[in-house]
Amino acid sequence: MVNGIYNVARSLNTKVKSIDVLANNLANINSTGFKKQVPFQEYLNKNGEIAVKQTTDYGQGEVILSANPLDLAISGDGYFLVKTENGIELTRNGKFHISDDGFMVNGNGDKVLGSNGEISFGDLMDADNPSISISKTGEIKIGETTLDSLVIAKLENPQEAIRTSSSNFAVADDNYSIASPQNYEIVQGYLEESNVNPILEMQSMIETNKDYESAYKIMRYLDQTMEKSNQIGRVY
Amino acid sequence: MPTRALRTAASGLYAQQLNVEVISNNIANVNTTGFKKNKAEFQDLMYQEVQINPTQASDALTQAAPSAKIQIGNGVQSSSTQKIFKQGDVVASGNQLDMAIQGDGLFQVRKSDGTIVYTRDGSFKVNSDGKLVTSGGYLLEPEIGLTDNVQSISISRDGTVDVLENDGRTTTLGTIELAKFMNPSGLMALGNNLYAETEASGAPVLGTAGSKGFGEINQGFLESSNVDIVEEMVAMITAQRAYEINSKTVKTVEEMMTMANNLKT
Repeated sequence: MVNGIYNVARSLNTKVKSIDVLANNLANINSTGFKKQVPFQEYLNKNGEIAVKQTTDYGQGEVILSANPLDLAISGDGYFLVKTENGIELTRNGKFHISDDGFMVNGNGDKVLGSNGEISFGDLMDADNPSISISKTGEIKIGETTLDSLVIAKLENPQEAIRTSSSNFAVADDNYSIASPQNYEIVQGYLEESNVNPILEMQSMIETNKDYESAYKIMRYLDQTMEKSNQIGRVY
Repeated sequence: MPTRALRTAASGLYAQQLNVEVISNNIANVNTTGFKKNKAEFQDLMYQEVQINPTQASDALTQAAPSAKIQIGNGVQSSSTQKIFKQGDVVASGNQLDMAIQGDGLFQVRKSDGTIVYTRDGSFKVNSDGKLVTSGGYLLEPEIGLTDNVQSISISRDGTVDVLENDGRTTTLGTIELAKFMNPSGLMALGNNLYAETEASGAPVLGTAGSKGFGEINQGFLESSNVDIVEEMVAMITAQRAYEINSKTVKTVEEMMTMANNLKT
């Protein structure tokens, strides 16, 4: 019986963590390139031990018009590579701009990687025809001059990627490879919206809330049962 | 106590509030000549690794396996508000000193301190010295000065300014030069429809109107704001609903906290 009360307590605890995950999904309902997290599950692994699995829903978000030449969306399977302080990270957030020193960077100032390394607009900023065009395969052109082409990577094992901020994923070196161009298409002037669906999140939130309530009730009953058992044989 | 979810929801509420502020500024400027709308962008905050409780009573005091960790996010932050340099509608105004650019170019304007700034607002006036100025009184660059005996003024699509004088002669007063930027969204908005060059926007490229990418000058027209009311309304509905859904998170967490408080009667 005391065992039971511990199990219920853990259930209450995990539900709180599930709500944390759902709250984060809902807060990021308008975040560019955000991929929602599915509240974690517990399962038995091959050795019969209980393990925890957390999954990310990598579904495609809606691609919407933004009309800026450096806003890029990936349609299909692929990630941009950005160089951060902590190494290379992958992202679907294609909200890029030109930094003060002429590099193509994301919102945090991390440089975007092309096939020749960091992409610098440098001298071409003053070109005669300063219009940026980016092809479906990621080739960047300033006017008629080809500058570089974006490196698009794919995740080998998506569920092992670790989330960092701004919709980035930190991955081990052997967990990504260059994606083949048939599998993706880069769309210039568009951004990929968050893939959070408010209805599904509300559904999960109601479920979690009610599960929490059930666990709460069970705990109340257990408490009452123990109270009764304490009264057995009471000396009046 | 699930205060993380509360903080996360609060960050969501704050982000949507900012979103509504940006949208309301766009709507307020729906009739501002040459106005370019803004869009707020958001990104997720950092994640934390959180240990999940072991699921067997006997494990209660032992360390859980490393796999029993999950990542939980801390909410949302705004990443930028960016100008969207989409062409606004060109509307006939009938005023011969009004100009609209159809294309990517911007007018150059000299501020009183001598610095050059840029604008899409082509509603020019003539000041007391006969020079073409913006509604704010800043000089158009290069300067165009009118003489006293001007009967009418005509501005061609490539920016050449010709005047018909009282005695019937036509004189060319000069050419309006346009500036163009590789990354216009990097320009700094100064208010009053003026933009300043930054390192992110790149140096301006000067050229004549009508040449590649600069756009043609249309005399007697003004470029209206590129704010689309329907689009803004849709954005406002989305923002309001997103605000509402975050408030639902607060409510749910509050209910859960009440239950936790009632565990012991």
